Amino acid sequence: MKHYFILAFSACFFLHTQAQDSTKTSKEEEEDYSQYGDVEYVGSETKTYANAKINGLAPQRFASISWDAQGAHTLKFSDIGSYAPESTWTASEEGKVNYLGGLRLYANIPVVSSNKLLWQLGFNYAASNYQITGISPSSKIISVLDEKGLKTTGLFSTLYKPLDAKQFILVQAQADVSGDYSLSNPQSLRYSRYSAAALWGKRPHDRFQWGVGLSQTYRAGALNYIPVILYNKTSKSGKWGTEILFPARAHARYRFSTNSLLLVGYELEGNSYRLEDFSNSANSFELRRSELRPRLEFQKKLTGFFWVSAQAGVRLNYSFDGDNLPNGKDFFRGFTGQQPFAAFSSMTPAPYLNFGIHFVSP
Amino acid sequence: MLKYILPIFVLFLFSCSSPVVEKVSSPELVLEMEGPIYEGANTALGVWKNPLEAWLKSKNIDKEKIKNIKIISVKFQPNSPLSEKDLQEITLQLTAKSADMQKIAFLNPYPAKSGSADLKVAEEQNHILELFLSPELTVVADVNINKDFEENLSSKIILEFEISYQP
Amino acid sequence: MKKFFYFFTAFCLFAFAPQSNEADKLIGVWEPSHGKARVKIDKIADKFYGKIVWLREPNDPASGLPKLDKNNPDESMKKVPLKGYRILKDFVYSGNKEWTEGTIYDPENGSTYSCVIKLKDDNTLDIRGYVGIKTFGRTDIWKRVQLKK
Repeated sequence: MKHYFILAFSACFFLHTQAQDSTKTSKEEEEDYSQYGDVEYVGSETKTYANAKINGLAPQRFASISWDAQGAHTLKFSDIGSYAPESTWTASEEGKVNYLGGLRLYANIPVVSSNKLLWQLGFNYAASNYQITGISPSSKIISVLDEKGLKTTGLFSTLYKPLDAKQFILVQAQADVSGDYSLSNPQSLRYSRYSAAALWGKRPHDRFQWGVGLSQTYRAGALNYIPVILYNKTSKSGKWGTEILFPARAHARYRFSTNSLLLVGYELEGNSYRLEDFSNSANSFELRRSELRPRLEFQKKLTGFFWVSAQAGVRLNYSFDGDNLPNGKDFFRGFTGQQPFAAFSSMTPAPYLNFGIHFVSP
Repeated sequence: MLKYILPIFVLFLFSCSSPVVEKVSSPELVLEMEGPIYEGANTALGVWKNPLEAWLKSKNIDKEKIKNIKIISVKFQPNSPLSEKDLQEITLQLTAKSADMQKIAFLNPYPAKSGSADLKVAEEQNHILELFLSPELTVVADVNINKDFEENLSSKIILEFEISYQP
Repeated sequence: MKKFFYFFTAFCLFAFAPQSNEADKLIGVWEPSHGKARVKIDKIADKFYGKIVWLREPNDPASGLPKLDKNNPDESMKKVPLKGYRILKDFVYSGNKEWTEGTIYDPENGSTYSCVIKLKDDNTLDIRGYVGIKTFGRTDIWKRVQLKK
């Protein structure tokens, strides 16, 4: 019987060592891999869904910290509440902005990220600190800007749902609190402004995706409803491409290598900023700020998944006019509405720079 | 006083001395593929046990004295019946149980007229020392072959590398 | 005594066999959800590695020649062919149908991501590549394939 034990133990041990023999590549030589174009699924079939990205795009940012600065320019406002026609308004306050800029923070965290669904939650913060000289004595708005500056803090959520191998839906919603508030004197969430966009798109191949949709946006300063067009394309060589989400931004892309690229184009930035000093419980005075930024942006891998970026361009003012919003409730003027502005503004163009460091997924 | 300072000074000099770099060659390592082998992507494997043991003994130093290892050349020689004409390209990697796989060399295309060939060695090399200090270094050659073979195939490689060490 | 012998044999089989069998379920040929490649996972030195054995588009559309690892950050390695390329490396079975400590390489951008593999069922893998921590990642579903019989 003793021999049976030895035999049984030896057999088991032999089986064990066979299973552990790891220098072999598991019988791979018995299969002809050149034939793997002609296969069958052992279980269920692969389901292909349109990927959220295309080849060659600039790296997707998970987190960013950047510093934005505008050069010298002149700023003028009419009297608050003058409601003058746009063609006849006159400046009652003026100042020379020597510096306008501040810190920008951004985070975009995937909550669900699979080939079937992508859901991300994000946060953004941007400070606009002013250094203004030559402020005219009667200045109200310009004095507030100089003393308090402007801030915007927001939360956003993005949902990307592929419908099949070629089609997808993209939905984004955002809530921003923008104004002259500070950390010690925060602005009520009652004055949050909401943006949203929904697109349907197609991804014909790995280097091309396009989509069309509609957005509720503050990028033009005031509340607006505008169509959006997505058009991302990369050339066969991978060197050239476009990254367009019109009208928010549009860039042509040139890749020097996998680790560096150049974008040439523009971004339209905007929001509605509440100024506390000219508002009360029955009224919210808001600056409808919108800037068009034609620019060059150079992006380069720093190390690992950290990239740096440098932007240089011109800030062109599209809107910085003021609206009085009864009870803080926004209204839709669009491009053709006749509602008069409570204050008009003018701003000369200024050069601007932006430097950032980003944690990315290439 | 001098009798205290001098040894300290010598010790200081010794500790600051720059590492010595020495070229070393591996023995001929045999890479094997079990037949039948089909046209296309295949893998040949070889094992080098205790790669640095003999060298460390010959120098009479501890492995902690080694600062870095860099592969400088890889010579590949297919054995009959495998010939250079059957090889399209080759990629060579090193791995070990306790260290991550590193790609160290490749040749694409494999030259049709030379039996043995020097592979193109990677400029960026990481964790090579960790691999060489493993008790068992596995050499993994991924080869694209352009015809079928019924039998087992073997090849030989010789790795030449620089050891940077503190004598 | 005979009963004890059977028990002993059963114990030996149970004690030695299952862990390795579970781990080896990863071995085979798998197709990522995009369906453009097939990856053979094998075992070398007790770790698991996956190499591309088939490409739907074997040639580069720009050059018409076999695809190379042109996005590799190491300039000297840009001519390594993608067919036969080991994109999954150094996976160790950590129990509970999960393989960890490995990496996945994306030839489209030359980046290597940390990666965990989970066997959802015998023929389905959840492969999650990530940056830093698992939150910053994406899960893909791979299906097991075999040669047509």
